[in-house]
Amino acid sequence: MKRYYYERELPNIEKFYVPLSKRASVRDVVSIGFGLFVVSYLVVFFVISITNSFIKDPMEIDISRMFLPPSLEHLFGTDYLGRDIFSRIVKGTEAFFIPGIISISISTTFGLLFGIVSGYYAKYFSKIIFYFLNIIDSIPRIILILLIIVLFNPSIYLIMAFVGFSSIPKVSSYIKSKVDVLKRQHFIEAGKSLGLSESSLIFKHIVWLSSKSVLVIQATLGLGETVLIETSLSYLGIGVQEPIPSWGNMVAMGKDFFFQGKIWLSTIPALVIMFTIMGLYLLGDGLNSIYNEKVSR
Amino acid sequence: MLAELNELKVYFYDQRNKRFIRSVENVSLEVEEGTVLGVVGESGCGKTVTALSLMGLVESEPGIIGGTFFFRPDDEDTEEIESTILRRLCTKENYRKERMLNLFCGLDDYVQFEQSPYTIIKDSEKWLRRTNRVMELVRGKYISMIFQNPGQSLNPFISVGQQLQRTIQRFHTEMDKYEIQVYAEELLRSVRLRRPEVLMASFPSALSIGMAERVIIAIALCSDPRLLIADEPTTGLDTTNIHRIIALLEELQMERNLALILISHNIRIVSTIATDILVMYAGIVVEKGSRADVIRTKRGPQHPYTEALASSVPNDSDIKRGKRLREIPGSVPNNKKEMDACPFLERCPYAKGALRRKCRSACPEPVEVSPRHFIRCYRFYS
Amino acid sequence: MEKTVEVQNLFKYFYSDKRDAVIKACDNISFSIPRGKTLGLVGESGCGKTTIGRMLMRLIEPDSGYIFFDSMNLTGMKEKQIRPLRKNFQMIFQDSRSSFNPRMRVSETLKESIHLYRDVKGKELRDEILMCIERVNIHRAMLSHFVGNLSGGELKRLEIARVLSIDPKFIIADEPLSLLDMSIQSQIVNLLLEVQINRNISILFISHDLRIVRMLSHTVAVMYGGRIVEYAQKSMISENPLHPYTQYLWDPKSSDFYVRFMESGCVYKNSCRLFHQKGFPYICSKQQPALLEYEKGHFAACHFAHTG
Repeated sequence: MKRYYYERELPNIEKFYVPLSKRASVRDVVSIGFGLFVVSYLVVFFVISITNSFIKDPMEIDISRMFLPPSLEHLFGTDYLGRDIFSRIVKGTEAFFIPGIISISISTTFGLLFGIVSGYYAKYFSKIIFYFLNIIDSIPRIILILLIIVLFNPSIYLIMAFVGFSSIPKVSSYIKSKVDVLKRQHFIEAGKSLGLSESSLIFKHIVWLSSKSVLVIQATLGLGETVLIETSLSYLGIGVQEPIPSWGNMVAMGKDFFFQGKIWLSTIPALVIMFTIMGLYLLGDGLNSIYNEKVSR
Repeated sequence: MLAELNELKVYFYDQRNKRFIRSVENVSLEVEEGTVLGVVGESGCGKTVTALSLMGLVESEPGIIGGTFFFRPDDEDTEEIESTILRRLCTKENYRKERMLNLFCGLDDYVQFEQSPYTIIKDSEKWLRRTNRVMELVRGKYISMIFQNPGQSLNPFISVGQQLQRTIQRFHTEMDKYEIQVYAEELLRSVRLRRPEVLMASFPSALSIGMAERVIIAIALCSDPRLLIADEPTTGLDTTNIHRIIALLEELQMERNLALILISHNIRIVSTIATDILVMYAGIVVEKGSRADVIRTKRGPQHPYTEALASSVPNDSDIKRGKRLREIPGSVPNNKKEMDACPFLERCPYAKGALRRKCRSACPEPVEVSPRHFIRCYRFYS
Repeated sequence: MEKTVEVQNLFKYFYSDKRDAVIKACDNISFSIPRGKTLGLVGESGCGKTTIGRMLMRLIEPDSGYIFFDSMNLTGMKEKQIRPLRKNFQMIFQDSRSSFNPRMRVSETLKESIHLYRDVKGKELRDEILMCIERVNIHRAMLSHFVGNLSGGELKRLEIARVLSIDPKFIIADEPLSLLDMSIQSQIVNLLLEVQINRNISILFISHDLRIVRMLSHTVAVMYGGRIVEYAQKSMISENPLHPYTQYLWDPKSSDFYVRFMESGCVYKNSCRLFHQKGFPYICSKQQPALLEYEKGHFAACHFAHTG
């Protein structure tokens, strides 16, 4: 005869592990919402710009329409050559989108790889991997980039690949510390006694279930950093060159006209830069806060 | 009478679900000098919260919202404490003829109930500050507590000797270094630890769990308290160690005429040394009485929960026959909803028929079935 | 009777950091468990019983000795060879809360363990999971909850369900009851009794409580200081305990002895009541008593077993 343990009130309060949706505070929701909004407009702009649809031609020069302030027809106005600023902003996302993806792919993939190897097989590989990673980490990034540009004059894609490469040490050390802690948890030993293979333990339990937060956060922060670096470089005149629009070089070109009262030429791209980077960092920060928060507030 | 707790109410507020969790509801207990009170109940029934509130260590919102705790500190120092506390308390109601002081005095000034909507307004900050001022005179010195999980109660970064000496220094300010050391070694010897000199220099990580437990008892006793609260001292120890620690507690209690509150989930262990027993379930006291009344061998009134607890421990004949143990179906309710029915209803083997309707109507009040023996059950309503 | 597990002459010593103290966790341990029977291993904490469990599961390596499973010699095998064999022997841990990844749900945990050794999909998988849950009396609504939110008793039952879903021939239960409340302990004991009756599994039940072990096992081995000091059928352990330590375990309220003597000789002499009563006989300090058969199937390691 079967007997059930009838529980009168099935517990529905999460005592110990609270899924994300319940842990978020208002501040986190706002940060993440804002960040997601930024990501979505970046994606939309990128798609529009490569398909060349929906917007005016960002390269079309029309001297008769110089210095028009923002209006319904030209949402952000026109610049000193009569080009529509809004479509140039949209086109400007091309400058950092793909390079950014390259950068974060490199940093997360190799960071994950080195982190797992040095964390799980710490006895053999930890010292040697971190020896090399520390060498990379010790050189300041901007100097490294300027050096590479002076020596090799590479395209923006290569520059960003290099930025990604220089972020590997940080990601690795985060992953390694996570792996170190998780490796000692008893459930890993229990899984081994059940018969789980090592690869399943590492990839499923340690990485996917417990560490993916670190990777996502590093990826969003990495993307924010990419935008920052790319816009800085093109502001300095080193990155994307005229007439191809980039937010940085738009700010640089527009600054000459700032004191003539035509503030929208440089202010608007600058605001867009600030908005985008802030959004990406807030996204990373909000995700960090809800993933890593201890349960009781 | 050494300590008397009346109608203690401790509620916690669950932010996420916007409701109150009734952790402890109307718990009353009395401890006489030199006796042992055993508090029995499963995990989650509120016994630890009761112990913490006796020490004034409940900090969550809103925390203690009702009740009085009369305590009589040492006779010699009572005048001093009375004057300091009385100056702060300033009311005569909080002071009884038998020189007992209400340590939760003034609670009513800080707590307000409103029936609809059901809200509790409490000025927790001010209340905590006030309680701390009162409790600091009493905590550690007259009431001591040992916590669950001995491995985590010691500071892993300083040696055992240093921890013991610092505590002694705090309470015995008149002693100098040499006297403190001698006293520390004497304490360690009194808890039956061998070679205290070696132990003083060692770190907590080197101690086995039984030894760590004894060190903690020694630290708790260094101020010669009148009341010792032991919160689950034996959970996680093996059977031989359990008996040794309980024997140790009994010896210490008799030597020093100490009152002991022993909290556990194992009724058999508690019944070996307790003089009075309190059985708690879901935050309320379901049975209270002397040991002979609660753990009875012949027929007599007993709460169904106590009965179930006592029979879940196998006795010798059960073991030899290898029969199934009697178990209590279900588990402790952890969403503490309104007390509109007896909390033990779903697991009670006696709640059938006409009686069930009564059990479902409201939570039963305590009934005195024999002198000083109270049970909360509709079966004993005459 | 066919022997599922056989252990011969296992040794495992641990050395402290400074290499000056040695902890003899396992000192010449031998026992065997026939098919479908339960062996109970009793002893205080620190006597080496957990070490034996982990060595049998091959989570740590013995210093020397042999472990046979179904007549296969497991001792020399590498991890790769052992992994497919783990289908046949599994372990239930003392702290079930830490044996699960708290971020997984109950159904996912069972799915993982079922998929390790069997290929079951879709509706069949769901039925299998439901059956595993109901067998240990967990309500099916708990399936979607996170593992971190279950109570101690439910976690223990889930751990038993996980182990049973693999359908092993041998289970090691390492102190399954120690961290539970008394009322929950009785539920788990009844569950283990059911498992014994309904399935033909050999169990090694490790505990410190002789009474519960006596209830659940067919044979009992008592350990002290890394050695087995008594070994008998369950009835003989309760009716006629020969070794003074076993007698002490039955009735721990009897008084405690401790005298510090040299390390040689019997492991138990420092706390042995008989040693005191007989005025510290020389033979106890000189020679570790061997496991001798005093009655049929009843072994004890004490020079004075027939007295007392």
